[in-house]
Amino acid sequence: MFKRIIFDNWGETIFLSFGVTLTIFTVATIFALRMKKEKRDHLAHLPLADDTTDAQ
Amino acid sequence: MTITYDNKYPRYFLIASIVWGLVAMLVGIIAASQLSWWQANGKFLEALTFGLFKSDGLQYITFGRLRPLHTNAAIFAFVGNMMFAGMYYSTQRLCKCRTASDKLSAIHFWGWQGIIVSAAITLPLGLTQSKEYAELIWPIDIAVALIWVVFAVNFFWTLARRNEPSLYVAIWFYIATIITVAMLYIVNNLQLPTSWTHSYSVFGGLQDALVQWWYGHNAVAFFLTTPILGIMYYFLPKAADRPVYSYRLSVIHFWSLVFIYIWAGPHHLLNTALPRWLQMLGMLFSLMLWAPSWGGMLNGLLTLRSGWSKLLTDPVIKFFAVGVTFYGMATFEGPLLAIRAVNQLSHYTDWTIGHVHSGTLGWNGFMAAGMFYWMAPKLWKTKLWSQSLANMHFWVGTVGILLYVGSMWTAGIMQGLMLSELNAEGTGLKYKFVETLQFLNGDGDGNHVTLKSFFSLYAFRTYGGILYIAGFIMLAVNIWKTAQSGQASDDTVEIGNVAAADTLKPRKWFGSSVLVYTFAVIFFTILAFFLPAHADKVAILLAIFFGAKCVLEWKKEGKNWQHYYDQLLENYLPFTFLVFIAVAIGGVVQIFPSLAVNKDKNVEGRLQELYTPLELAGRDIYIAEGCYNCHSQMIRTLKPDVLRYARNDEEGKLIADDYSHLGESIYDHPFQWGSKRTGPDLAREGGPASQDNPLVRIGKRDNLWHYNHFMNPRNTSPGSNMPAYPWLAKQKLDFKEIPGRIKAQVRLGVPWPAMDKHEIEQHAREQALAIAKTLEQGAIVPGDDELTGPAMTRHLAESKVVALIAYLQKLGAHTIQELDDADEPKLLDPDSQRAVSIGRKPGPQVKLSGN
Repeated sequence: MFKRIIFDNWGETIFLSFGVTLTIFTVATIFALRMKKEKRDHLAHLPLADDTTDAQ
Repeated sequence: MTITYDNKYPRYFLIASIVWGLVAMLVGIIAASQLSWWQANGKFLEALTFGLFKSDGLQYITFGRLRPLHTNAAIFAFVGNMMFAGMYYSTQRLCKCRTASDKLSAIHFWGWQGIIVSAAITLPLGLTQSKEYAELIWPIDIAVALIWVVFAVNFFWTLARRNEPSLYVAIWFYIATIITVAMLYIVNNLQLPTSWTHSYSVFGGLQDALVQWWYGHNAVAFFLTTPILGIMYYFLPKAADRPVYSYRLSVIHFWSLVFIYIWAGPHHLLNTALPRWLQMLGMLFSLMLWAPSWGGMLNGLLTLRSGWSKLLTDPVIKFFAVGVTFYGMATFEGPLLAIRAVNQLSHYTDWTIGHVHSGTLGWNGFMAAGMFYWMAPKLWKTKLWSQSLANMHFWVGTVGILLYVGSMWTAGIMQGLMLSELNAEGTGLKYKFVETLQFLNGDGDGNHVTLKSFFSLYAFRTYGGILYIAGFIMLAVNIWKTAQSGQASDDTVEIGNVAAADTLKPRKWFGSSVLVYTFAVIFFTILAFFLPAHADKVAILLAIFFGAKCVLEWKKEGKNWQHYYDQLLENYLPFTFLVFIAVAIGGVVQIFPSLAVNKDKNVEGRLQELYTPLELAGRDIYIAEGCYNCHSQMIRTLKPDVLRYARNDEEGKLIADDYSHLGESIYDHPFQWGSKRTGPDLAREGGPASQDNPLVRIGKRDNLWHYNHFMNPRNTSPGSNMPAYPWLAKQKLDFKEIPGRIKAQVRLGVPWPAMDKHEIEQHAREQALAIAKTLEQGAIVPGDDELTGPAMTRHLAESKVVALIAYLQKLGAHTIQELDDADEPKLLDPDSQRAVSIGRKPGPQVKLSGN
């Protein structure tokens, strides 16, 4: 299989790699879209949260 | 609960970044001016010392030695310290806990500065591996790895102690940085030491090229990009005083960027001897990078959208807005340059230099400035000393970048076009290489500094750099004054109820066996690619088996995928493991096949001829002097390259397939393909052995030409901007160290013939004497005009220059290897690959006489 992939049908490797990447991208998008609003808001506000309790 | 954040080490790293940034930029300006005026390589010291120093050059400050110092200082010292400052500051606040260990922070800070000082000493001494951005010698590499581990332990320990269960996206980017940089740095720096200051890469030729640019490209990705993106996602909301525009987009940005980036390394080797499937892979993934990069850029800019009113007055917002814009520009240009057709024009020219600097000066430099201006008042509990000086910095720096990048784009495109322009008859090339160079630096014959040279494209690059450093000096003054006006102290905050973090035990890292089975499916699917016949079928069956188990388990648990993903967001160890899987897949697919197959026994056609001991010593000098910074040894499979650099056959006709073949550099540890041509390619510089003396080779030019060229390149090549190397005729070659180096090469698999150390030394001395004799009539040793005749021959036979000449005269030597067994895998050169793809056989190989 290795020889065939590398030497004979190298184009398939590229399509396969592209397919894997597209899958990752799609899955990440689905997870991102399905994140609950409360979770999103909580995460998005984390950088701003540290100032509100500054005791200095 | 009361938390006291550590501000000491963010302060330290901030100051270190500014100091080293100034050093990196100053060295960059000197190096840039050396390309305009060769006298900047040391000749100018004659005037500065009123004649006390008298030489055409000083070895410690030549372009070949300063350029690695510039790049390493800019990447690891300037951006490295900047990212540590940002990471230490933001991680504590995002985790709502102090950095785990102040001692580890101290070891990290001082260890990193020690590494930088070591690099600043060793690189000008010519102690280098010659792999770009990985030049540091092996003891320093070990120190880098150890200090990186200290940093990683401190970081992950902090995550383990956090009082905020959720991991913000900036932390994700930091995790990806730490894991991936460790993986890249260790693999690319695998080497076999021959002394405390010298080693050979365990990879050779194409293998080394592939591993190096897997590292080199991803050093840009995971050292100059992902940590700064983390910083962007933390500091932009702070500056704009509003959350990130779209947290969803940041999630997509992270996963797609981290997964895709690692695959794109081969785009640094387009149109070379790299197998075509790898070139296409690199190009495809580079083009795919457009989407996540621009997603991130838009997310950053839209986060600032409520702050546009501040754009006129707030320097922090200005720097961030322009920094993110340059991120968008650089990440648009990168994939563009990775298209093979565009790369034909851009590669080896200053276009790439312009691209790199729009990223480092615009993205890294301006993000650093924005972050420093925001952090300094917080760290010293005061106001920024001068808003107007910061605004002045912004405008001076912006004009500097535009001058720099504009001149390099123009220079690169012009030189690329000139190098491929045909003459009026259409039978050859119109311009000599040096003529294209003179167009860029306007320096006449090179012997005298001309007025025109001050208005050249290269000069404007230098002026751009001067403006940029002028702006950065304003920043240094501003931060210094700010620090003086305030009081350094830590921050103390009160936090409320703390929710539990990292609730998953290690045995349940993935929430359930569903994800374990998913990983098993991925693992066995990838494994199937690399296993021999029948074993691959077993792997596929196993993948199917685990797939079925996964589906059954999923139905049994009755939970959806979102449940598993949400758990990852609050458990840093499984998250880190997932990131490692994402970045490792690309490396495995690209590199393992090359490591397994690209060996001399599989080469069909041209196979590199082994060096002699003296030639190997000459090669080491070539590396130490940094010649690879300006000269490639890779004739691409492009007509203009072949027309310019290929040799003629015995009938005087151009050898059409005389571009660089895969097997011609297979024993080169490390490879020397280069990435920029400030001078011409040298892959065919050598020639056949002389009939009078087989120890002497005569290539395109004779030995005396090379000698005179090294003493002062203007003697033989009017208009050249290459430094003079007079010390090479004075410094003695250490013949005693050659056997040890050959021994190391043998251990790496280079098939040197059996020789004991006396035979090696004797052979080297005999060849050196034979070459020195060819220089007896006509050579002059700089500073020693009275040395002539046999005395001079004996002197030169001991010198480094003769070894270097021996090496150059060997370049391009190869034998032809026939492979009988048709069933064995064979390496395909790009030409034969192309021939196969259009259904015809490659043309016959032409053997060069004497090679």
